[in-house]
Amino acid sequence: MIRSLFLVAVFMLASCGSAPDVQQTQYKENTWVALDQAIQPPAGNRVLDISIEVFEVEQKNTGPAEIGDWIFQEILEIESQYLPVVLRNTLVEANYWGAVRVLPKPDPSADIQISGTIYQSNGISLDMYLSAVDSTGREWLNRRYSYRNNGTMDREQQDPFQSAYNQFANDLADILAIRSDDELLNVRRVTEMRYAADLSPETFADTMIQDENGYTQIVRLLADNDPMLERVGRMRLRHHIFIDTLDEYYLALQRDVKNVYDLWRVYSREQILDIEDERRTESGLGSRGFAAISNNWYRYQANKMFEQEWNELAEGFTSEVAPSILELNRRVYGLSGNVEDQYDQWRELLRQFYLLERGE
Amino acid sequence: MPPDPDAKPNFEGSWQKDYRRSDDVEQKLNLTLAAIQRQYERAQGRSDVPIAVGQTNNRGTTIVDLARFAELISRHNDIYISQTDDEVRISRDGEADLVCHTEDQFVYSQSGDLGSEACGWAGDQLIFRINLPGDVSVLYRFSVSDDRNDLNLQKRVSSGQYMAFDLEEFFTRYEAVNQDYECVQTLTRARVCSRVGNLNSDGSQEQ
Repeated sequence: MIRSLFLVAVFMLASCGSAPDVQQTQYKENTWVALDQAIQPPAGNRVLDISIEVFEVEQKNTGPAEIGDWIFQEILEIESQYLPVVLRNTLVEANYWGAVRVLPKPDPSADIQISGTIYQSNGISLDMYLSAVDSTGREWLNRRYSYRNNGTMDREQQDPFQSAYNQFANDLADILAIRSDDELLNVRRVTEMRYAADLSPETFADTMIQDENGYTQIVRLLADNDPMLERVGRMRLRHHIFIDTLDEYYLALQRDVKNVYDLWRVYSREQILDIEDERRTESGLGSRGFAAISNNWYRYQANKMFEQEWNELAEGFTSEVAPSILELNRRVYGLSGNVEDQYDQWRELLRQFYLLERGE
Repeated sequence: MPPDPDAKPNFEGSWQKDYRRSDDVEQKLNLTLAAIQRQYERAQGRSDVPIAVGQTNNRGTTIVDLARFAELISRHNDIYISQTDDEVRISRDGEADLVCHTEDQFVYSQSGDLGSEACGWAGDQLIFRINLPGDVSVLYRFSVSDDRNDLNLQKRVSSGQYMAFDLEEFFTRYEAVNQDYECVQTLTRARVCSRVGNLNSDGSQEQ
């Protein structure tokens, strides 16, 4: 029904105020990219844990404010938590990695940290920058993934931009393949000591240095049965239980909003295609007589009505997903504040536990 | 308590056009033409005179074109206005809402190359200005009477610097049905409305 309202409103459209300009970025047509999946899960030192930080959103500053801009910013904020989960699920499916988690902040216990920035996300295009850095500080990937939804995807089954996620997962797996066992062992060791130093910098900071390339190197190895390291191991286990819980929340959020988000993207795509069609047929008119003035008026009105319908739709989206976001931010285990605050509080609690165990 | 001098007038409500008090476009056009004619006759020979009756400006627009256009955009019988501290929304059937997110300053928004819109408060008046291609603009000035029973709308359509047609409309407030509902737009269930307040034990609505 909403769709039919749009069609009535869309009379000689030429632009949508808040609809992003899809012509500036070079997008790949969404030809299907198959996910490279490992037959056997990784073993030994090749098991690396991945942490995906909630994405950032590119702040746009494109001149005068458009009515309803805030609502699109709100949708992007929701997407900043939704898209990382799609990426997480893709990496899990690829079967090349250890634990893959979505977290509100970078995680010192992760071997590989993935971060992303969303430049544009709507029903027709996804433009995001993704980077992967291991615990030593070495960059594995740093690439922009820009895909255009050509409408051939099965909306019910797949994310319309699944190819972008698959491509990233394949790229990351390619780099994993060329890393030697020793290199990966080094990453795991640095992760362990970096986590230990995060808990107790005064004890563990001198176990690592930064080399001339800015990469972290271990300079003092502790024995496997070192009691300090055993304590760190116990803390790390507790930390993992907590971050698994946080990851579950992000998964639940994604499950909750998936249907309405998919619907939003279907509408979004149809509307942007309408705009592009109208742009092609548009011709300018000067003021002149009554006919020309009224034509300009109708075009302006139609465009304005479309913008307002679009904004209403966007508000519908955010109002429906709001309860899920609220649930994510609810108090967990006596921690307070939003999910980022809770994560910080938990890390501080673990540091205090650690000092207690050491008898300080 | 004395009234807050900074408080904005309240436009909230449903408003119906009062045709008796509102300008009739044809009459107003005749008056405007006569006024222009007089002005033209007085100022003949001078270079800064406005446009003569029936004469076009350098954009090919006549005052009759503007009058017809004013009539075209003044056909609404009803206006619905909702107002919060930071938004006034004026809805009319068949036209886009006039929406102003404003405190004190004027807010400007652009709709691609189809036009632009600015709005803001000028004292107790709420003003919208829509600029269309070809240097045509529509200026709305809304004001409300102290007893909130009357809404005044002064409309000016102009082309270029010298040619303008003014139209004044009056609206009276009325109680529309379904005022007790709060509605929210959703994607999956379209528009969902719920009644404001709780039901009493006898099923009546608590106010």
